[in-house]
Amino acid sequence: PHVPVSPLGPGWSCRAVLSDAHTRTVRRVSWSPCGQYLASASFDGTTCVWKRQQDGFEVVATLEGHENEVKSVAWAPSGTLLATCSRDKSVWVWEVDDEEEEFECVSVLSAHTQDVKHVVWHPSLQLLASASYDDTVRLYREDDDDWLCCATLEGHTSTVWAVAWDSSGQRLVSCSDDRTLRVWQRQDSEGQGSGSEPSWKCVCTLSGYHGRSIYDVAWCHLTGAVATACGDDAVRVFEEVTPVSPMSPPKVHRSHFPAAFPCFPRLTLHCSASVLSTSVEAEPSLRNSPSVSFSRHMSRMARAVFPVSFRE
Amino acid sequence: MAARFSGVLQLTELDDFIAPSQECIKPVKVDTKPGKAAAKIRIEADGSYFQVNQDGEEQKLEKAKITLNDCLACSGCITSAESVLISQQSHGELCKVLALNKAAAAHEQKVMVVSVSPQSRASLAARCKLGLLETAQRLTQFLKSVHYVFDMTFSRNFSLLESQREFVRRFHRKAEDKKALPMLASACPGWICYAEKTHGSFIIPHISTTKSPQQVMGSLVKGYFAEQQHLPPDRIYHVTVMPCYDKKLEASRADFFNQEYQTRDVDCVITTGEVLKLLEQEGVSLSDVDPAPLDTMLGGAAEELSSHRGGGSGGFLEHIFTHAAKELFGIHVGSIHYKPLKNKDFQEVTLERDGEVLLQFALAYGFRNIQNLVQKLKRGKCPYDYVEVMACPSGCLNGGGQIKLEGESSKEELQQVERLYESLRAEIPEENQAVRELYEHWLGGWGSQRAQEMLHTQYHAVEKTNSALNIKW
Repeated sequence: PHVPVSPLGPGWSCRAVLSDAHTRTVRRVSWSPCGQYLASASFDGTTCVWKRQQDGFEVVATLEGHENEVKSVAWAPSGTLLATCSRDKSVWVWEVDDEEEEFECVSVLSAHTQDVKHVVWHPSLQLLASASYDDTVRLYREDDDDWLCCATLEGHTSTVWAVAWDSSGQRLVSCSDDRTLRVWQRQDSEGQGSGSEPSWKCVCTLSGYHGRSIYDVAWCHLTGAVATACGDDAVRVFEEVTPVSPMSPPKVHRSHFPAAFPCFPRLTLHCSASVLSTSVEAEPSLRNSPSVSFSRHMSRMARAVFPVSFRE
Repeated sequence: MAARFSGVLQLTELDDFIAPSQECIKPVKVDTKPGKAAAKIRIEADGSYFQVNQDGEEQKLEKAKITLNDCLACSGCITSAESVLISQQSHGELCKVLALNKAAAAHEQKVMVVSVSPQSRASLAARCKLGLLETAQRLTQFLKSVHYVFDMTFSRNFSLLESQREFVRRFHRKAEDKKALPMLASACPGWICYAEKTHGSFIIPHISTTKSPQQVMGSLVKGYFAEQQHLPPDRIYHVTVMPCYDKKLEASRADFFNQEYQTRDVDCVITTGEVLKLLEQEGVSLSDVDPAPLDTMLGGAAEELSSHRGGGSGGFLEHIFTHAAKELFGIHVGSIHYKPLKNKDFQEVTLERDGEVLLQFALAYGFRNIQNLVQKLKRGKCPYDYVEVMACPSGCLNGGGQIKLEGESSKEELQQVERLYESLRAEIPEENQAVRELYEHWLGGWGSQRAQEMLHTQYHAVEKTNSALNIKW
C-alpha cells in the first residue's frame, strides 16, 4: 500500500498502515509497557492486539465481547492486563497468557450506568480508573478471583471524558463536559482499621477556565503539570502553586497557551478527526474553520484539540 | 413502569451477571409503502396518527407494536415491554389470580399447583432459620389456597436422565458431526437467551435439547397430572418458585405454550424473594405456620426430601460425567474431583485412564467465563466434551431472585444456603420409582417419541435486521 510521506517533516516516517483489522473507526491505541505490543480499540466492538514483527505488525489477538463501540483501551503497567471500555456501559479486564499470547476475560464490570469513555491504569498498582457519560469516575481493583468497583467519584455534573493519574498515584484528575477539572486525592483510612477501602475526595475543582467541554487531560509525571484539551480550541497548562499552609488544598495556576508552549518553539496541533470510517475528514487548517456537515457537537469536536499527551 | 415492577429486583454485589443490553434486537416491522412525496403527519387528540398527503388525502397510520414474546431474546430492552412481561408474573399477579379463582364459579375454577425449586427452598430456609423439611411443610401450609405444592427435585430427575442419554448419543456421533460436542447445558434461561441473541446459529447446535427442570415440571403438571385429575391443561394454573428472574422469560417462550389448549406449561414464575414478600404482606412468619404433609405428583405423601449431588445448579455435570464414564468406558466413578482454573466459577473435571484423557468436562458460571468459553469455541480451541454453563456466578443458589439475608456478608449467606442445600440425601435418578413408572406408563418407555416431545425443546437464533433502532451511527 502507498505509504504517505508524513507532513510533519523530517525525523518521522510512517512505518506501517494497519488497515485490515477493523471495520469501523479506531478510537484509541495503546502501547504495551514492553513496547512489543499495540492494542487498538474500535467502534466495531473489537480490540485488536498487534505484535511488532520484523517488517511491521501482526494481529495476535482479537478481543471480542463488547456489545457495541469500544471507546478506550489501556495496558496495565505490569504488562499482563488490558482494560477496555465501551458504550455498552461496561469495563472489561483481560489477562494475557504469556506462552500462548492468548487473552482471556478476567472480569466484566458493569458499574457505570452509561457509556464509558475512558479507562486508565494507576501508574504502579493494579488499580483501574474509568470515566463515563454517567458523570462519574469509578475505580476498580482485584478482589479474590474477581474485580470489583471500589470507589465512585461523584461531583461532575456532566460526562467525564478522561482521567489522568499523577506520578505518585495518590491523586487523579478528571475532565468533563461540565467544563471543570477535578482533582481527587486518596484518603487513607487510618482510623477505620486495616482492610477497609481507601476513599477519594475531591480536593480541587477548576471551573471558569474552560469555555467548552474538556475532552482530554494529561498529568506530566516529570513536572507535575496538567494539560487539557478543550472544545474552545485551546490547550491549557496548569501548575500547582505550593500551598501556603498544609491545611489548604493546593491552588492551581492557570496558563493559557492558544498555540505555543515554552518547551517547544512551535507546537503544531494537528487534529484530524475522521468521525466515520467512510469519512468526511475534518482536517482544520489554522486559518479556516473546517466545513463539516455533522451535528454541531461533532464539528466542534473536529476543531478541538483532541487528544493531548505529554512526551515521556 | 418501574412502579409496577415487583419491588424485589435488586442489584447484587457480584458484578458478573449478564447485564441488560442497550440494543433492541427485535426491530419493529411496519409495512411501508413507497410514497411519492413527503407527507405530513398529524396527531389526533386521541393519540392516533394520520398521514396527510399532498393532495389532502388522509391515512391512518398503523401503530407499531412489539409483542411481549418478541422481547424474550433480549436480556434487557429499550422499551419497558420486558418489565411489563415480568410484572405480569409477580407475586401481586399470583395473589390476584388466587383471589379471582376463589371467587370464580365451580366449573370455571382452576386447580392451583405450585412447584418449588430446591434452591428457593434452601434460600427461604436460611432466611427463616428453619430446616429444609420444616420449610417445605410450612410453605405447603402457607400456600393453602393453592391445591398442590410439588418439589421440583422430582422433575429434575428427568432433566438429568435425558441429559445423560443425550450426551452419550452425541459422543457416539462426534466423528461425523462436528457440532455434537461440546454439549452445553440448557437449564439456564439467562444463558440460553444470551446464546440465541449473541451467538445464534453458531452455538445453538451445541446446546443440549433437554428441557430445564422447570419446564419438565410444566410438561408433567399440564400433561400427566392434568390427565390424572381428568382436567384439560388450561384448567390448571401452574406456578413455580425459582431463584431467578430469567425463569419468567423461560416460562413465556413460545416453545412452552400449548397451542391446542392455549395455555402455558408454566403460567407464572415467582422468585424466592417474592415469596418472602408474600409472607410479609400477610404478616406471616414461616416458623409460625403449622407444617402440612408434602404433596407428590403420583399421590401419597412424601416422607422426606431428597436432592441430587453435584452442586446447587442441578448437578448436570456430575450426573452426565458419571453416566458417560460407565456407558462409554465401563469406568465406575466414585467421587468427582474439581480442578479450579482461573477463578472459582470455572472448574475442570477429567476422566483419565493410563495417562490418556477420556473425557474432559467443565463448569462455567458467570458472564466472563461464558465469554471465554464461547471465544475458545469460536477459535476451535475448546477442549471440553461437556460444559455446565450457568449465567449466575456461583450458580443457581446465588440467583438474582434469591433472598438477601441481613447482617451477614454475601459470602457467608451463600455458604449457609449451600450448607442447607447439601444437607439432604442425594438420590440417584435411575433409582427413583416414581420416575421409572412415569417413563414406562406415561412416556411409553426410555427414548420414546413421547419422551422426546415432552422432555426436549429447541432454540432459535435471533436474527438482527437493520432498522432505525439498531443502525450504528
